[in-house]
Amino acid sequence: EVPACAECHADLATAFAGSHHGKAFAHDDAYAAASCESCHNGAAKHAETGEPGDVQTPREAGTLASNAVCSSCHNNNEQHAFWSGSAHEASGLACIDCHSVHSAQVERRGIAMTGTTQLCLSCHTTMNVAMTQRSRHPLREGQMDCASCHNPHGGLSEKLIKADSVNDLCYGCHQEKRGPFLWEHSPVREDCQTCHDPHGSNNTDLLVARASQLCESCHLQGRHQTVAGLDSSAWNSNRSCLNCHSQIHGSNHPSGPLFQR
Amino acid sequence: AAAEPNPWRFSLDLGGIFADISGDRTSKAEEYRDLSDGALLDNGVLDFENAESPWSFDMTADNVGRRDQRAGLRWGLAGRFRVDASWVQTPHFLSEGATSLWTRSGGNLEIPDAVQGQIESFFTATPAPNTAQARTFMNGILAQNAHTIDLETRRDTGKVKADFDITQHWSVAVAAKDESKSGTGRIGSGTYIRRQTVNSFDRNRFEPRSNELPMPVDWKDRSYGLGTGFHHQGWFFNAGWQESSFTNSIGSLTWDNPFEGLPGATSSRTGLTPGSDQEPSGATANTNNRGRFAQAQLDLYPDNDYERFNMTGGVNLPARTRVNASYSAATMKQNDPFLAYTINPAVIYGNGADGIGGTPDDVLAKDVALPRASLDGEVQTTRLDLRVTSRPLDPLSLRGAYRVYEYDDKTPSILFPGYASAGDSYFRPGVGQRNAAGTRVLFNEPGGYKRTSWSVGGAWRFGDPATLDVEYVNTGMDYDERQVKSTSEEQLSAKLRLAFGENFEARLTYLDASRDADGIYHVGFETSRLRAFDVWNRDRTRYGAELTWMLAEGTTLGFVYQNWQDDFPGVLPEPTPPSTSNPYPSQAYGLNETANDSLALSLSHGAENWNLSLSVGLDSSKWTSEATAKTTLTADSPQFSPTNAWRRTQDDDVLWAGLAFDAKLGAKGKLDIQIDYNDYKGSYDTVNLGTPTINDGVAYAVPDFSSSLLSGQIAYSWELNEHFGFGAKYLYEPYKLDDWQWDLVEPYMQGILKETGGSPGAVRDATANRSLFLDSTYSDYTANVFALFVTIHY
Repeated sequence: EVPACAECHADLATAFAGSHHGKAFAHDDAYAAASCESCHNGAAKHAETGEPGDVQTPREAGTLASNAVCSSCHNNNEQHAFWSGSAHEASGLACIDCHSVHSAQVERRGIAMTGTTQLCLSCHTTMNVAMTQRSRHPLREGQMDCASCHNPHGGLSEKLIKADSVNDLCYGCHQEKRGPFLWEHSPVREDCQTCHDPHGSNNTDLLVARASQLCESCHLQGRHQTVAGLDSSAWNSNRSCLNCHSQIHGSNHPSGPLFQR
Repeated sequence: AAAEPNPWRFSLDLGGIFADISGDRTSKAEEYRDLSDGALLDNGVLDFENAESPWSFDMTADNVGRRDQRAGLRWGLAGRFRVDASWVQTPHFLSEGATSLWTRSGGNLEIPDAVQGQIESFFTATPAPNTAQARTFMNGILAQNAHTIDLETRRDTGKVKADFDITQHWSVAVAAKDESKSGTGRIGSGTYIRRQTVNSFDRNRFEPRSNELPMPVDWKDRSYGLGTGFHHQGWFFNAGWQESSFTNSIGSLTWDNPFEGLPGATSSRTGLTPGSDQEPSGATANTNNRGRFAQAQLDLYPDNDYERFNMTGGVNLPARTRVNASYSAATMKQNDPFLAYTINPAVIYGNGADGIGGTPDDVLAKDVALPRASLDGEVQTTRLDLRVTSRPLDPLSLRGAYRVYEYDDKTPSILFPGYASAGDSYFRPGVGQRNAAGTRVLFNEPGGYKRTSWSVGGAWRFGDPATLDVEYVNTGMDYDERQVKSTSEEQLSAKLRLAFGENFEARLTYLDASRDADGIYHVGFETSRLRAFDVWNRDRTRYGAELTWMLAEGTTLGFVYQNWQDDFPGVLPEPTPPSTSNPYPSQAYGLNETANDSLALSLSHGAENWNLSLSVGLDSSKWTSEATAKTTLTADSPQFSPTNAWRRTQDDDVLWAGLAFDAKLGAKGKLDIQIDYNDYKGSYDTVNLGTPTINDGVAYAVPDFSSSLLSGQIAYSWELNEHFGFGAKYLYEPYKLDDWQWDLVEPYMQGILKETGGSPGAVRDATANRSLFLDSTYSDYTANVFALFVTIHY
């Protein structure tokens, strides 16, 4: 049926044939029965009559129907299994809002952001600010993208992340902080986001607030007064409390209960 | 017959980069990228496009030969296998031109003995040198002996994953990742110098307090994975196993103290009072000489291992119902050998009954046997997820979920006789822990937790114009060793989506949540009974609106507003009955409130030959906490005075903008413009809550911070013919930073700071302090980067 459609839709057919879908339809036994009709209701009739109204594109069929078409093949693997009930599904998003079925549409943009990140930012507008913060992950440089951490198709963890927990996700790249350590800092062990904003921050080191403001949000100051500029102040130069308590992610040194070793 | 088209396609940008980056410390310009002068080999693609062939092949390469190079490969046989591989180098340029007195050899930071001796002699001379003399002297030492180093690391990540379709319904996947990180970072290392009495220490005497060291980084992580899956029309089941091993080839860092050529062994053993933490007991007791070290050592990240097993399945049921379930179990282990308490031969362990205190003839801490040789740490995590979704009616969708994540810390708790305070100054029995008799003890507190949540939700579509989605989430946390026993949180959220015609859509969101802490029971290390905000009572609201208006075909206007507010109400009550070991009154210190407002406007237009996308936003956040100071160091009397309390709000405002424009210029030309802007101002509002009774309780104002980045790039490309084209890019990027915490940094001197006096009027400038900084900072820069290249297509 593809050749029949290709008689009139040659450009689409050519692009489709080289795509992942086209290759699968042509060469994978699992999709031997697939055709244009699989996604386009009325394609066969349209091929006979030539009437535009006889065929329906997935977009014309509406979000629910078009997603159902995609899910008929893509719901039975871990990548897509959790689409139903996911944040994007609940927001009324259609698969074809992000994916081009016939061919890849993402354009490589040199040293600017990668296609995936740009795509996400087109809806998550307020996240644009994170791209230019003082401390951030290397998304602008294309060394990673939103999909490095998030599965946009849904997942069982919070915020569509691709791990059992936030910390488990972070440990995927920051293995050195995995521990366990002799001296643990409980908030660190439970949620990296207690202190860090992974999307970027205008404080150093992705911190949600500047040290010592962040530290004193839990720790009352005993011998380190948080008065700017004082000799013994935790507000003093460089990284504040972290000048001394540098092993804040945990220490394995017998003399490190205060994370100084 | 017509020739068969060549199925192989190759393209590459080949040219050069010419960069001018001006500024004092310009590492920020190349934080995660390489903009240096040199060859440009970018956007390389080699792929195989033959619709008649089941084979596929696609290889990409970017920034070849540069520090941020990366490559990718996809290779597959439709219906049989797919291989995805990538190799990415990510530089992290922390600081250019840090000043180091040390030369590194493996895990040792060394200073020639002669230099150490020269410095020590100068600062131990009688009379002690004054500040101006000290500064002149140290600058001379640095000029003669220090060298500059770039603090930079590089991450190399290689990944490969292969999926095999064994049958139509059965697949197997194998994966491997090799990741290394190497270079030089920086790490702090505090030492402790106790003044004899307030305001009486010799402030002209150099001793390192806050130390910043170049940290050797030589890490590797290798991970492997194996998985299999069964996929049928109505159900699937996957199972997988992953393993990861992290190794750090430099497990400790030993560094010479520039101010001490030989440890103060003799003086450190005088004036110590057995049984009193080896702290000075009076005006005539040992002061700053106690335990002074010539060398110190700190631990770097230990090796660790990780292993995880997971299985996931899903099945379709009648009434468009879907059930998914997933389970995983993982183990994290760490068993690196412990280092000694200290390597300083001037620190006494003591031979008293409680293992503390000492006399000049006591055992040295560096020789004391550890209770264990290593931690034998082990954590087991388990996760169980169940989710049911259903669409019984076209307009109605329902969902329910249950989740348990348990972090079970099986690490043994070890009782230590004490620790070398800050590693190298003196030995003390503990931090804040006490046993039933009120005696200080020290042990690690492995603390696990369990997070349990369940949720129900549903959405109703009121035809095309509206959808209402409502969800309730209940989350409980149970802790082994936190300040509270448990927390429970209820959250209710709603989303309303409204469509007005085909051109206007509005999405409104609201969330309300309340978290309650229960069972305040645990003090642990922190004697001040900290009110940890991450486990404290919290009232949370979130609301927002998103409006999308299609002004015309291809033209869309967007508006987004979001408001987040977290309040942390309530006071930490006084212990009942009042405890002499925790004699603190009820208080609400700590984080009180965080708030964030985000506003964004966007406009996009797509025409036949050009596209424009413009976004502008304002982001404002507040972080308010209360703090207080100690009035006395006496252990068993009220130490925190309400009159010495203050409230401080960090107020961050960011104005940002982004513009992307591309246009076809004629049949062969293309123009791309990308502009990003970020202007940040951080200000602090400080309010004294009472009338301070001592000088160091005064909450002085904190100066503002600011930074701005403008990044503008214009690119033009022109296709000469089927095989060749030309291109040019220009990047203009000025960055400005005003960070007083960094501006105060001088290598090996802290710079001008206020020094505490005995009264508010006695606060005065101290022209030198005892911090040992590398000056690992960066500053303003302006980057002008040109790239000229030829594009080759075959």
